[in-house]
Amino acid sequence: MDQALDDTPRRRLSLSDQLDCVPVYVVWELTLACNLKCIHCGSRAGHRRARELTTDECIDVIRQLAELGTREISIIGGEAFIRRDWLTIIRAISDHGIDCTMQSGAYKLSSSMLRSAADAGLLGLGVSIDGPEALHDRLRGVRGSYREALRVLDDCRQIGLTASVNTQITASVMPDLPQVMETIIAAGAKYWQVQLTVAMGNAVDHDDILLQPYDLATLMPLLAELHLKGRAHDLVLLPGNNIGYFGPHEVLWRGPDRGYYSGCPAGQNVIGLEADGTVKGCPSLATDRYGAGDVRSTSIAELWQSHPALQFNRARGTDDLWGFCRDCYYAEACRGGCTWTADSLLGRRGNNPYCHHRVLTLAERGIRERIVKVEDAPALPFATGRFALIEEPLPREPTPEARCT
Amino acid sequence: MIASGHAKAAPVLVLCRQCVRYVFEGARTCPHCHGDALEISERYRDGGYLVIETMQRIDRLREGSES
Ligand code: SF4
Ligand code: SF4
Ligand SMILES: [Zn+2]
Repeated sequence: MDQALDDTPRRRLSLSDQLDCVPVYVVWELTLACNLKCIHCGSRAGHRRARELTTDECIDVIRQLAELGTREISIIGGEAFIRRDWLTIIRAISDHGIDCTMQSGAYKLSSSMLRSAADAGLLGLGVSIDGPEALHDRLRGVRGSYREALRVLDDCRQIGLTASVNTQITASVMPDLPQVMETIIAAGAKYWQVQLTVAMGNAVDHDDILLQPYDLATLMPLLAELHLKGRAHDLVLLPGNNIGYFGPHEVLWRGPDRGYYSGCPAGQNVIGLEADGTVKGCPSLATDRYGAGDVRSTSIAELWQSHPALQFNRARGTDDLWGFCRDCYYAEACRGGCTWTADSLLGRRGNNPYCHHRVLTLAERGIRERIVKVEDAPALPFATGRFALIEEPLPREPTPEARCT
Repeated sequence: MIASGHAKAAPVLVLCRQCVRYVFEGARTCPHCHGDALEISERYRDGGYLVIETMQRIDRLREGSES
């Protein structure tokens, strides 16, 4: 999902949430229309979908989710506020006793719109910042989008709306992360959620922006350092669900007791909704493999209860695992990490090269993994291409003499 | 609220009290540092993990969710 699970108390899963499959957290694409042109956008947002839900249909969706026990709905796009009825939808979510948050590129989100959203019941806003100004504007495809994002963070501070920053970790931003953090601290945001850019949609077209799995050997110690620095400045760095797993720094953000990554919650405690009413276990999953029918033809409760595309995580089996993940020590707890990340990359879930434990284990054997694109993604929302996973010898650290020559 | 389905819970992991990496509950020998995963090390105590672990355990017992 655009924003993976963080640690807000109502989103924290109890044992009964897990056992009873309560869809605690819903991420809802209100429209696919967008005013940015991000080169990493998995949903290839831009134009609205052909048959997006009407206001009445949206309100009925909210009623159904409230009955299922949903505690938080995060509205996303495209850009959610492009819908004329976005404030009506926020109010309806809030009136049903469900927390409403929004993830946004924040371009052209005026201060008065923000104030109206807060009045309607919006509890928090996640603003995307993907790098220093030039990089952010290049990745987001619109000059001025960085300044707008910072302006909106400032507006949030002024009206007292909780703001978090979301950052996509691309190969290009990795060295600039410390600088991005400085900016976020200065902007007064309290939470910084980072996630790896996934090989989906536009990111497949621009595959040079993807990290290589072996980059995690550099990234994870850097995130640990930033996490500690953030704490000292009242900023909580929260790695998203596709950043892990079980490496030596994991305890910093997951804590010593029961905070560990316990597998992908898609279809168990998470629902994703597309703007035309298509239901998925997670909003980011490929629609062709994980779409479970739509709310116009079947109730959400019925889909949730019985559609096979939503069931794959519930038995917690390890039969789907393959490759390195199959024999991993953590297989039963982790089950290959983020389904979206692995499935989009390799066309099948259950083998995730973007894993710190895996990178370190392979390094001990003198090996690293690299991805190479072998098939482009079709020009459709949430389309995937295909990547090959290549094992190669780990390059030796240059000796001091070699470095000088 | 409508009952929605049934699933299994995740297995329990704890921290190795030597190297502070996650291991399955009950593991004696840590697969990472090969030390005694239950024996409290200075690093574990000095890092404050013992205090947090104890507090969280008390909280869980209070909530009656100890599995
Ligand atoms: S190798 Fe696979 S199963 Fe093991 S921790 Fe990493 S992602 Fe999870
Ligand atoms: S696929 Fe699973 S782990 Fe990944 S973002 Fe979606 S819900 Fe989270
Ligand atoms: Zn250990």
